[in-house]
Amino acid sequence: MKKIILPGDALPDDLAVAHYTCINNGSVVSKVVGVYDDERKEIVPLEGAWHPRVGSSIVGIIASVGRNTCSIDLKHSSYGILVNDKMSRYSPKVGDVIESVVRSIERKNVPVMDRARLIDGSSWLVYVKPSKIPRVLGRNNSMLKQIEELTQTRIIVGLNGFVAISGKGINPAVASIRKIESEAHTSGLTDKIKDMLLSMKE
Amino acid sequence: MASKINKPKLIHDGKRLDGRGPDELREIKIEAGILKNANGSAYLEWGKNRIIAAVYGPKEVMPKHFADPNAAIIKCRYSMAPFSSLEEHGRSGQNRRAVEISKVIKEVFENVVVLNEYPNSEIDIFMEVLQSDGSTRAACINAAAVALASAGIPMKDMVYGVSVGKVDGEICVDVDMLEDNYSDADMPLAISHRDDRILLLQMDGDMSNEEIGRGFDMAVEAGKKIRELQREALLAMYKGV
Amino acid sequence: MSGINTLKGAYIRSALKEGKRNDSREQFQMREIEINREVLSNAEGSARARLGNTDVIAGVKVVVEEPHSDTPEEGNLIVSAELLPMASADFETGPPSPAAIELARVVDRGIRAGSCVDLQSLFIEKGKVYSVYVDIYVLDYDGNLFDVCTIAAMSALMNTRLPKYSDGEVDRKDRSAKLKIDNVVSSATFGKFGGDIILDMNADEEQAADARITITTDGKVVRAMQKGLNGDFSIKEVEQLVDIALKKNSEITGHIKR
Repeated sequence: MKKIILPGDALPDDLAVAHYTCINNGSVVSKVVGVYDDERKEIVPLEGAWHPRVGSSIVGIIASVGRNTCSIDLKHSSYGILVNDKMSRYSPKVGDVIESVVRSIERKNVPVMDRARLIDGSSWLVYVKPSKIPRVLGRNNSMLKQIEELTQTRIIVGLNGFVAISGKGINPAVASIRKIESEAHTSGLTDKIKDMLLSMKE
Repeated sequence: MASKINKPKLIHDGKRLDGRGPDELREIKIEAGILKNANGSAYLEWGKNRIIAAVYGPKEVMPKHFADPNAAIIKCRYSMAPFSSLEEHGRSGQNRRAVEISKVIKEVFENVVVLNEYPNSEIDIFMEVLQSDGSTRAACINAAAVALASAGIPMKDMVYGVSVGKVDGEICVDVDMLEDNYSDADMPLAISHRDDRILLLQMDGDMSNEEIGRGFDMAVEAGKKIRELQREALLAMYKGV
Repeated sequence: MSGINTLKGAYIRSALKEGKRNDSREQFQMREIEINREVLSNAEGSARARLGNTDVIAGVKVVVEEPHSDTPEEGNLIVSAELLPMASADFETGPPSPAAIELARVVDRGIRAGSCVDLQSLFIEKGKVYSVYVDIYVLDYDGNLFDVCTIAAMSALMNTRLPKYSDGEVDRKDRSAKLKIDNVVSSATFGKFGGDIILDMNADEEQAADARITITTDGKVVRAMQKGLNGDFSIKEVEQLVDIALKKNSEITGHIKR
């Protein structure tokens, strides 16, 4: 059984993962609005900020360029740090949109990257709530592949929420991402998006 | 508090001027997630009060020297629209009253938000009173709590706000503007859902220890209803799970 | 400003060259307009207006004051606007920004120059007139505040009622007299990108525009204009846009008058 839980709602104390919970007044409670699955004994948050992990793909905007590092706007609780790669031919400029992978985490929530790739200049950048990004990707990236195929686009997804889209059907791709974002909690999304994109083609 | 000279009789046969009993709340409606840009938001109608609350963050602290290396900071802004009152045209921006209310509301949420999860960052809570009809700070707290939850800000508990007053010598819950103008005492409160902890307490007027105790009991009782409404507002965002 | 990136301008411009906008609208197509009237009961008039995802609320307070010495037999109309920090991550708390002041003044000018409110009808007696304060609050920002704020202000004024004044007392329970409205204006704001011009910019488009022009009309004549940003328009372009703004008036005021 799945049910929606709110901050402060009591949970059993034998959860599989303790993420998104804390102890309040002696009992385990949820910290977030989420879905609790009592078979898997886990919480999937419905809202909330991105939690950077080593190895996570990100898309960000260069906010400032220093001698050795750049600050990256990830729409995160703090700027990410890009350590300048002396070997790379790419020299970062403020406003550039880049993709990268988190190499380490500093001070609890500051993602650090050491290599970045400039995103193609003909792309369009949208921001999606990070809690909805898993639905944009779909199981084994199935949703993403479907959108790319039906709209003839290439989509680079940052787990922090920025999504860069290039190619032919950018507008329909954005429309489908917005639909996923607003209906992320419902089931049968892959088919809904397919129907929407096929009807837009006509 | 207005002068007592023209004070109307506020309670007739145990009923207040709008027909409520002493322990009855006005009608409340809450809607979550009403704004696109904010990370979380809520619209609240409480009697004639009309309030919008919005939450941004956690985000990079600006200016940087305000940052706390161990925890997130909360910035809170309560303000009243110039057209919010029935009487004269108000001034836009915050007066001293609004600054004080912003501060005590900020301290409510510093109690429940898990701040150490986002060191060096800030969480902004904005509350706009579009129309005021008494007990606006309590109403704002209810809206802000829903906005925070809808933004996914980690909290160890939800909170609700409610006011208690002494009207015509009787302890009443949720005083409206008219009652507040002529009340003997007014005590706004914010209380946590799980364990009834008092997170905001202000009071002015005259109340005995026994009356204050009765006020707390009434507030907690009324809180059960407010909690349910906050819950429903959040659940309504996810119809079809 | 957060979210400024080099992709935005480039994509909007290259798509416009092919006649495409990032939200699939036509070049001179407004977003959907939605107006809710009398949303507040303490205020003497009010309206909430949405233009796409831009969401504003206008409240009107009417107070009795002394007239200005240069217009002793006329009431006052004062329009203000506030860009609430809740409306966008880029709006800051504090005193009104130059952008908010420009917005309020452009909306005010259009309504004033359009003689929408009969200021002489606001005269009560020697030394006493009604002052009509229109405050516009921007709640959610997705571009083109000029046009939506004019819509909200006009709509709120059209349901404004004057409180009764007698023997030196204002009675706000008696609001039987309606504010007299003589004319209805609407504005059309265009953005220019290289050689391409569009109507009703969303927030993304606004961030990338070279130049902006707001043309307020009553359908017959132009009542106010404001050119903004550091780009320019040719004389011919302005003439064409005036034509379009005049034609758009009936579409927009159709919503306001409903």
